Amino acid sequence: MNLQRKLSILADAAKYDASCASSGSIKRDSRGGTGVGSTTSGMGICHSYAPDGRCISLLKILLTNFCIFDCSYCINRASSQVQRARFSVEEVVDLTLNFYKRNYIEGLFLSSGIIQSSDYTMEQLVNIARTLRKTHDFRGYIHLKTIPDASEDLIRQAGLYADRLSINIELPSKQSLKRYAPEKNIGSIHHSMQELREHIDESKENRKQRKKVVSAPNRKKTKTSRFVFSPAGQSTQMIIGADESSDNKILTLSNYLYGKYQMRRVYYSAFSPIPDTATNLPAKAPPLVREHRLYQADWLLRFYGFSVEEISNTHNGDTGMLDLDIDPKLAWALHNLDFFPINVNRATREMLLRVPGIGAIVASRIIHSRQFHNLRFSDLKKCGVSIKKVAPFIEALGRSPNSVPLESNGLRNYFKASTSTQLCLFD
Amino acid sequence: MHYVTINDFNHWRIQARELLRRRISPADITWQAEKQTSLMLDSGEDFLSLAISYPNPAVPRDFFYLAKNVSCYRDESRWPLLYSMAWRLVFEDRNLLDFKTDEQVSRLLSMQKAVGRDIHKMEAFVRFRKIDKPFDWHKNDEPEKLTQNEEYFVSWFEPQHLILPSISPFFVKRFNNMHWSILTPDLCAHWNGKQLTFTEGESRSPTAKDDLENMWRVYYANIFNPARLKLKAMQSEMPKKYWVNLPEATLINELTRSAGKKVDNMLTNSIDK
Repeated sequence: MNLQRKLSILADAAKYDASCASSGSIKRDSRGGTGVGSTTSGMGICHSYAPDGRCISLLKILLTNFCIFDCSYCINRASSQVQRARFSVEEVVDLTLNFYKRNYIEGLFLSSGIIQSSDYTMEQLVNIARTLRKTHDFRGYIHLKTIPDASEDLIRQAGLYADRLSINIELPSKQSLKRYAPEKNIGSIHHSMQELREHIDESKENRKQRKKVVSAPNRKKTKTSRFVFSPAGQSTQMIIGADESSDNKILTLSNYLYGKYQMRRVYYSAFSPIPDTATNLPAKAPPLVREHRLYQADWLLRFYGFSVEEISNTHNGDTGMLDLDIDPKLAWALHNLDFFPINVNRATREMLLRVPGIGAIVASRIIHSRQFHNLRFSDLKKCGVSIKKVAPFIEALGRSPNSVPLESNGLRNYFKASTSTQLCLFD
Repeated sequence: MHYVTINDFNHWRIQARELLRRRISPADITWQAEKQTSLMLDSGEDFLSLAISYPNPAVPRDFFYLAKNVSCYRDESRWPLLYSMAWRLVFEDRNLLDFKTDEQVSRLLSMQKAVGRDIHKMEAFVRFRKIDKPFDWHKNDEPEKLTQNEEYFVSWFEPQHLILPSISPFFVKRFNNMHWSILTPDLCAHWNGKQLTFTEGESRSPTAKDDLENMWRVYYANIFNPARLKLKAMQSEMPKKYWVNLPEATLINELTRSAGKKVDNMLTNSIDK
C-alpha cells in the first residue's frame, strides 16, 4: 500500500477525536538545536480549517487502525469492515517533519488501535515520539493518546516526550461503557488518569523549584531534576448522544474529572454516523447543537463560577437536559429573573459575569471604564456589548434603547427569535 | 505648523519624545510618510531648535506595546493618533488607556486587534514550498550555496497590515535551522540560518512546485467529517481571501458538494443491516 493510501485511511480513522489543540505547553524553540519547531505557553495556532469548521492544528493520525477491541461506537472496532493500514515509525516521523517544515501543522497528535497488547501498542507510540525528539531534535507539539493499561514505565516515558497526554473516558456512564466498549475497564481508565496527574504535578513542582533556585543565585546549589512531564497537562473526550445519559450526568462527570485529575479540557464529541455503524447504535445525524451547548456549559463551569445544578436544572423540569434553543447562561438568567436587573455602574465582577452577553473581556472593560464616569447604554456598545442582548438584564445611565419587560415567557421567545439566525452557524 | 516625517516605529518613538519634550501640541503637527518627503522643501525637523520645557515625558509600558502593534496598521492616520494619545497620557491622565469608551482609546484598541489578528493569521497560513536552488534574492550577486543537508523554502503571502518585520522573529525561532524566504508585496524577509535580511517587496508569487502539497491535500480531505459540515464556521476563521495561497483550499468546493451524499450513504448502509 502506498503512503497516500495509508494516510487517507489513518487520518479518516482519527477524525472522531475532537481535540486538535496545540496550546498551553512550555515556551521553547529551535534556536541552538539541530531541528525545527517551537511552542508557546499561550494559545495554539490553527493552520487550516476543514469544511466542518474544525481547526486543523496537528497532524492527527492513528499509527494503525487494526484493533483487537470491539467498541460499538468506533470506526476501527474489530468487527468493522473498514480497510486496515499501519504506518511504520519512519513514515510517521517523515510526514510530521515534512508537514511541519512547510508550516502546515503545529505538530503531531498520535493515537492507535490496540494491537497485540496495550504495552506493545504504547511502546510503538513512545518510539515515534522519542525518534522525533531525540534523532531529529523536533521541538514542535506532540500529543500522545495513552493506552490505559500500559505499564507505568511506558507512561512515564511518553510524558517525557509529549506536550500533552490524553486518555478518553469515552462514555458518560459506567453502564454505557460496559455495554458499548466491553473490553475497556473504567477502573483502569481512572487509575491511569490519576497516575498522569501525579506525574504532571510532580514535574510542575520541580519546574517551580528550579525557578526559585535560579532567582537566588547565592544560595547553595541544590540538586533539582530536569523532569518535564506532559507540560500541557492531560485531556479527555466523551461521546455525546450514543447512549441515553442526560446533560446533567455529562456535566457532573466533567466537573469531577476537572477537579479530581486537573484535566485541561474535556472534549465532547457528538456521536457521528460512521461507515459500517454497529447495529446497537442510533443511525442519525450527530447532535451538533447539543454538543455546542455542552461546550458553553463547560465554559460556565470552569470560568464563570456556575455550578452543574445551576446550569442543568433550568429547562424541561427535571430531565437534566440543556435548552437547545438558547445558550445555558441565558437559560439560567431566565430561570433566575429575581437576580436582575444588575446595575453595571455598581455590580461586582462576579455579578457582571452572570449577565447574558457579558463575558470576561467585556466585564473588565466595564470595570475599568466606569472609573472615569458612569456608563450609559451607548458606552456599553463601545465596550463590545450587544445592547439588544443585555438590555433586559441591566441598568445603566439613561434609558434603555430596547426596553423589553423582564417577564420570562416573552423573553425566551424574544431571544429564541433573535438567536435562530446565529444557530445556522452550527447547522 | 511642524512637519514631521516618520519611516518606522522606532523613528516615531524618537520623534514623539522630542515633540513631547517641547510640549508641541498634536494640533500643530503635520505627519507625513517618508516617501512624500522629497516633495516637501522642509526636512521637517525644525522643531528640534525649540527650547525643551518638559525634559522627561513618560508613558506607561502598556502604551509602548500598544503603539508598537498599532505602528503596523496600514493607514497613515496611525502616527498622529498615537501621538495624540501619548500627549494625553503625559499631560492629561496617565491611566487613560483604561478608559475603553474614549473615542481614541477605542480606535487604537480596534487597530491593535486588527494587527493582532493579521499576525495570528499569517503565522497560521504562510505555506512554504521546498525549492531545489536557493531563492536568488541578491539578484545579480552570487546566489547562496546550500550544503548537502540544507534545504531552502520559499513562501508568498499578502498580509493586510505592515507586519513582516514584527512577525519574522516568530519564523526565525521556529525554523532556525532552515533557509527560507517570505515574500510579500511590501517587503521580503530572508533567513540563511544565521542572519535575517530584508529586501524590497516582490510584485508576484515565485514559481515553485512542491510535491508534498498532494500529501497535505490527502490529509485535509480525510480529516474532514462530512457529517458535520459547517461551512460558515470555517469561513469565519479562514476567509476566502486566504484561499489563494493555501494548497488545500482547492478541495473545499468538492468536499462540500459531496458531503451530503457521503452521509446519506453511511446512514442507509446502517439501516439496511
